[in-house]
Order: sequence, then structure tokens, then C-alpha cells
Amino acid sequence: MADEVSGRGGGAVAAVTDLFRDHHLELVRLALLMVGDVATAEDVVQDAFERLQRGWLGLRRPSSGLAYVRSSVLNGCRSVHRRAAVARRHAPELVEPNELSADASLAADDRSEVVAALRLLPRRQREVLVLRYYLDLDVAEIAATLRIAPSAVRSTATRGLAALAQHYRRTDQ
Amino acid sequence: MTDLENCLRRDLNKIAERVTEDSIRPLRVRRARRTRPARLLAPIAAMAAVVAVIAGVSLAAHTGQAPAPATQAGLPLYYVTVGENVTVIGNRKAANPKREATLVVTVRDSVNDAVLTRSSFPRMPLISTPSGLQITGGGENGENGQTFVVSVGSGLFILRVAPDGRSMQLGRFSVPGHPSWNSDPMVLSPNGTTLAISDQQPCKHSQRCAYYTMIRIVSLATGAARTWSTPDASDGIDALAWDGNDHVVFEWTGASPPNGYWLLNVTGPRGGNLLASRVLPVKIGVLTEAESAVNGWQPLITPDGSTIITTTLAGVSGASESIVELSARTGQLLRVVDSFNWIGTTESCRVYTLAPAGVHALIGCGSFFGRLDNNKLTRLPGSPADFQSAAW
Repeated sequence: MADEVSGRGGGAVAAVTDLFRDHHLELVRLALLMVGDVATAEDVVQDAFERLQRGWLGLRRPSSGLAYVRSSVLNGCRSVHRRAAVARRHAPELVEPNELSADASLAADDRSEVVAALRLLPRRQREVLVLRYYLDLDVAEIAATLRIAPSAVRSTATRGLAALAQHYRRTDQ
Repeated sequence: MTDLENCLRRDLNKIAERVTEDSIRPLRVRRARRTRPARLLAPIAAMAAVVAVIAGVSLAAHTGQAPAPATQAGLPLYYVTVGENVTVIGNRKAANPKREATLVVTVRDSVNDAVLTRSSFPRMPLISTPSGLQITGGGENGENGQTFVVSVGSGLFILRVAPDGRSMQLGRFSVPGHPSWNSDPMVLSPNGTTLAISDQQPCKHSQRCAYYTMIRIVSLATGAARTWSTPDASDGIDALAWDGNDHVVFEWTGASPPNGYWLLNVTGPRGGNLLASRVLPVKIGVLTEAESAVNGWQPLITPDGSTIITTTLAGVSGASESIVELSARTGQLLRVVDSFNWIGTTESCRVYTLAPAGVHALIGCGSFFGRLDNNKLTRLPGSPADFQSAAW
């Protein structure tokens, strides 16, 4: 029997490499859904993996590496929005409004009505729905990724779907 | 799955698939961080550790007695942490090696840097998420010691710790109808006899709701449970606290009825409608979804329902974290207790429990624990490296 916790120090690079190989594409896609352009998504994911490697020894369990890097990607996406909001406040004359929309999430594809409606939701609802319906995470996994209670995940998802449905009803009328 | 859900899934995948392995640019190579100074310091640190251990042993041999107990009024003698040690059984190189979890329970002195006792309970089912492990304590530390309830992936356990904190017993505790997997809020009553635990169950007879929400009030002595539930609301409970031993304060997060704090009288012989309980006359301006700066951890409510203790994130990168006290009546910030900068780390702060007297919040920040009293954060001794939840 080998103790995974005690043996993890030397394997940090290998473990991060494995995670990168297996999940890099999925995470770039996740970031794309949240920030709306591929280059920014790639930056966010690269930063997340760098943080993961630096913080690997601080992880309580190696198995939580994927949950950590997912959270890190979502945090990075939020930072992108915050930076955009700050830039918009301080340099309005230099920036085209469309370039730094506070809600640039999913701007990559406005053709989908569903996705357009998703952009209108509050951040947490959007994150829960993307994690649920893009990454197929279950309630417990979403709770761990977003650090919220499972009940909050369920209620947030329910409210998000209800808001999407309401949006449809409005646009149908 | 509804048409809307199918549509959402299909469209999200369609957009995501615009990115392929070939279209992603290679990683940029950045200069490696300098690690040499740390390597040079390692032997010095090791020597210092050896000296510290020798000094500690000498001191213990000299005094020949256990560390002095906590003396501050209302401050518990010890606190308990629960963690999980995952081991791989058999061939580690196998594609899907078998894993086994051991629950590690540690009792630490509240004042001195001492582990009073530590036990491992093997063959626990693996917890899939770090937030799935909870512990709550209650009751004074009397002749029979103190009682805690631990929620593990496979269900609930009662943990009894001796008055001096130097021994413990763990026994399985089953609640009829309660799912084996649950990491929703739970809290033990101040007298340590009754557990309040929130839960959600799928609606069976209604197309109008996905889940309904409940609070179970469970006797630790008999396992008998009384249930207060919502008829068809799918919103949830984010925090629980006891107000005395007869009332539970819960934070309701939802659209209908809107967010609020409710006071539930749990003295009746049966359960009932959760939302028929009394709404506390507080105007909730915090912990809503729109308040994205509020951290996601479950907040603490003081037993009188007046104060919320939680953590907030700030800064452009979200790396600055503060422990704050908010008025439950107005939602206004009462005070910032302490702030931390977590740039370049994976750390965060979390508030765990209040001592039975309703003071001394137990806080975990990164690799240290702290107690919060009189608006001041005092670091507790020890540096727990592997914990997931803690309680007085």
C-alpha cells in the first residue's frame, strides 16, 4: 500500500503534465464559454496551470488537482471581467464599448438564442449552467468547484433554467 | 431532461468545439521561478526543526505534565479537525488503481501547540469532493466529554471526545430517510443532543418543482427525526444556527419567498411547513447572488441571529480575502476583522463554528487555524496541513 499524500512531492511535474494532457482542451473550451474569445481563454488556462504547479504541494489531495484548476480557470475568467470593468470605468475614451463588455462571456457566438440568453444571467447562474451542461459535472462536483453548498447549486441551476425559459417566452411573444 | 436543457447542452458544445487541439497555440515558455535560495534554506530549516523538537521534548520532560488547559472564559479546551487520507491499494501504475480513504480525526489543544490525540478510522468511502466532509460540535465539555457529529461520504457518525481531549470514540449514526451523501449545512444544538440538518429531495408528485427543501431535527439519543419541509420550493438553505435549544435560525436563499432569515420553532412533536416559520425582522442585503464578492463558504450566524460572520473576496484578482462581520438586520458591514493576501497561493479562509457560548468563532485560513473573539483574530497553535473541516 502506498501513501499517495506523502509521495506526491516528487511527482508534481508529472501529475500536472498528466492533468494538462487530459484536460487542457476541455478547460480552454470552458474558459471560452465564459470569456468569449479564444486567446483570452488560452491565457486564463495557462495561468491556471502555472498556479497549479506552484501550488501543487499545497493541495490537500492530488485528486483535487482537477477541481482546483477548474476553480482557478473560473476565477481567472472573473478577473478578466473585473479588469474589463475597471478599464471601462477609467479609459472610456480609449476603448470601444463592445471590446470590453462587462459581460463578454459567450460573446463568441451570438447566433445561438440559448447562448445569448445565457449571457444575461447573473455570473453564478451562468457558471453553474455551463459546468452542468457543458462539463456534465454533478451537483457535488459543481459545489466543490464553485465553493458553494450543494443546495445552492441546485437552486441556482433551477433559477437559471427558469430565467432562460422566461426569456424564451418573452422572445416568442 | 427538458428540451431547454438539451438545447443548452447542444449549443454549448457546439461553441466549445470551435476550439480543437490543433487550433490552440502552444504554451508560452516563461522564465522559471528562482528556487535556489529555498533549497539553500532547507537544511537550515531542517536543523531548526530538529532543535525545536529537542527543545520541545526537553520542555515536556522538564514539566512532566500536559499543557495547561484553556482558561479564557468560554474558550473550549480543544478543537477537533477531520481530514481524509487517501491511499492507493495495490498497483499504483494501474489505469484505475483502487483507492481507500481513512478518516483522520485530530484533537488539538486550543491554547498550547499540542495534539491531544489523533485517530484514524479506515475503510471509509472516498469523498469525491473536499467540501463533503463536515463536523459540528455542541454541548458543554462535561463529565462525559463533548459530542460532535461528523458527516462523511457514507453518512453520519457521532464522535465523542473525552473531557481532557485525550481519547475519542466514533460510532455510526443513521437517520431514516437521510441520504448517504449530503454536504448541506448541519449544526448540533448547544446542549449537544439534537442535530439540525438541511437536505433537498427530488419532487415526486409535482411537475412544478425539481427539489423541495427540508430541515430534519434529529435526536442523537434515539435517531428519531422530525421534518420541516417546503411544499414545492426548489430554493435552498445556505446556513443554519441554533437559537437556544428550541429554535433554529436558517438562511433561506431563493426567489420565492425571497432571501431572508427565518426562525423555526422545533419543539413540536411533528414537523410541518418550513416556510410557515417566522421570518426574522431583518432586511437582508447580503449573501445574495448579486453579491459576487461574498465568498461561497457557508457563513456563520450567531445564535441570537444578529450577526453574520463570513469571508469576502476583493482585489482585481480576487486574491485579497477578508473576514468580516455583517449585521443580519441591515446587511451592513459591521467590521473587517482581518485581511489576507493570497496572491500566488491556493489558500483561502473559512469560518467553521462558534463555541457553544456563541463566541469564539473557529476559523481556518490557509494552513493555520484562528479563533475570533472580541473582533480580534488570534492564531491557534499548530499548523494543520491536512484538514477539511473543524469544530470546537
